[in-house]
Amino acid sequence: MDFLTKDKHSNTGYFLLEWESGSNAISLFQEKSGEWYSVYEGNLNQISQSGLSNGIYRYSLCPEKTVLPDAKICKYTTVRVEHFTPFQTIASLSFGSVLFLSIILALLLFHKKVIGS
Amino acid sequence: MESRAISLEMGIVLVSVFSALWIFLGWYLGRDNKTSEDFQLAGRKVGFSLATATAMATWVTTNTTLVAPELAYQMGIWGMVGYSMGAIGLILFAPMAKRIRDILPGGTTSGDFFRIRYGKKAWRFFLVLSLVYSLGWLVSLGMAGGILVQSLTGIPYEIGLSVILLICISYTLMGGLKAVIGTDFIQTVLILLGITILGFIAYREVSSREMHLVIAQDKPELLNLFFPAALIFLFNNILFGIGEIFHSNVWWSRAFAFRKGVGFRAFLWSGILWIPIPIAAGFLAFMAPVHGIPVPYPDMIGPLVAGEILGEVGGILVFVLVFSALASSLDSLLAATSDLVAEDIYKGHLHPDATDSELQKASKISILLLGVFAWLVCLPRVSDLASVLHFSGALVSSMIWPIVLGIYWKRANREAIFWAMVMGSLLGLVSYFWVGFFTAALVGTGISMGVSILGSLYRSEDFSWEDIG
Repeated sequence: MDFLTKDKHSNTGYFLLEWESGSNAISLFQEKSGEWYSVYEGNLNQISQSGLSNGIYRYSLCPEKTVLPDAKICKYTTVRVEHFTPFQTIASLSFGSVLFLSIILALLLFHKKVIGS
Repeated sequence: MESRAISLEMGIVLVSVFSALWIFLGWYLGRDNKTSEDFQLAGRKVGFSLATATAMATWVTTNTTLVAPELAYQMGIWGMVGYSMGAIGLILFAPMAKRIRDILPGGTTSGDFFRIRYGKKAWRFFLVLSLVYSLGWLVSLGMAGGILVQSLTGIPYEIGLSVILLICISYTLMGGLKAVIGTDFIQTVLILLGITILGFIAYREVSSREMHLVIAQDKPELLNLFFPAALIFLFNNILFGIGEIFHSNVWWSRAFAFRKGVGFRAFLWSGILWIPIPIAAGFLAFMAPVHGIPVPYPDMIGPLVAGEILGEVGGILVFVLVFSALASSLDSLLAATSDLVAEDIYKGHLHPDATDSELQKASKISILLLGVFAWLVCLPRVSDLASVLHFSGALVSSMIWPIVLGIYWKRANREAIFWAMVMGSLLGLVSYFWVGFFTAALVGTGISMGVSILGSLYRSEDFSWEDIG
């Protein structure tokens, strides 16, 4: 039993957490502010996480019905979420809006000209 | 995904009922077809209601019903709203549909436009791009259908896929575009009813205040209006949608088939009516964190939530909704792509003297071959093949400006347009693989726009549609 997702990096706040556990059920925990919280318990071998802010997220994979992660029986992995920078966002948004507005403007002008003629 | 929202027996009943209904309608609506124009373009007499319904239903694909919740789950408010901006493509196509009908009154495919306006070189390149896109869409629809039927009912993927393809091929073969448009009307009613009931039941299950509290605590970025990935994705998605609609014969064949004077209003209203659908479908995704539903496969979050929270009723609603969405797009794609193959490849390249009955036969054989191709490619369930559709953003976006300029601007130069499409596609693909998926349509559109406008200003043509007409 171990994570297949190791030291992952996400720039969208979204990622897939995968593990291998044979056919055994597992307990999955996530660390928040120094405390562990149960995320999932069952037979799945992957789960998606989304909407996370910048930060380092720690997960623990344990045998089923584990109450709290224990280093002797559980495995650990971390995911670093680092969203696109404001520069990347604004550059992409500006470029896209210019292209989009150009199409609208061209269609408006051309259509007006065709109707006029 | 192993959860079953509806029982196997109920699944078989639903598939059987819809199969019988669609095939009967296909036979009934197509019984008066005589010429290839009847078969391919429904006699060019489609009225406003049917025209609006078919444009809307065709644009509500399995992607709309499955990907909208996925995007809401991954990119929050902007993912959902951004997806609904796909309606802009339909709305912008409204004035173009009118112009297309005016400049090509006897036109049959979007290939006719490229051949007449830009010559054989650009026409052939357009055919390559368009067929890659169409086949990618066809494969992604077929695979989505098989996966959906299996995940909702337990009917094996291979059987679900085969049945869906068989039904759509059968009624499209029997009735041509008349059958496609007639079934689209009923499918539109089912989609609108299904999404309204589903949204209403879902809204009653969870208060918006509770939903806001849970998401703000566990998934705060989903509510962030400055969510970087979602904003970066926004215009790429809009341009991808515009490129899909502007170039595809699915929409051109409708512009030709609608009665004169109908196209503008029909595309405008279908776009307006389409806007709330991804928002209603996407809303389902916000219920997953509230109910603590684990999401192993984000593309199935809609059916998963509906099945988990709303039980068998939710499962049946989702099944009817997605099955209708799937059929309405699959049949349109089969019909429009077969027209492109029959008119532009068979008649345009192989058999220029083909008679009307030979052309009709070629259309039918094309439908069959496209269906068999999709079935063979989908059968092994190699998921990477569906990604053909995703990177086709670069290809379709590189055709936006060539089409707009060719329809309206007499100075558009055919050499410039050819190179605009080549460079837009190639650099868009390079950008897709080297920079990220969210840049393909942006780069494809930008490069194609620059090359086509600058090239045409440098060496202008003096083309007149009026002289051709």
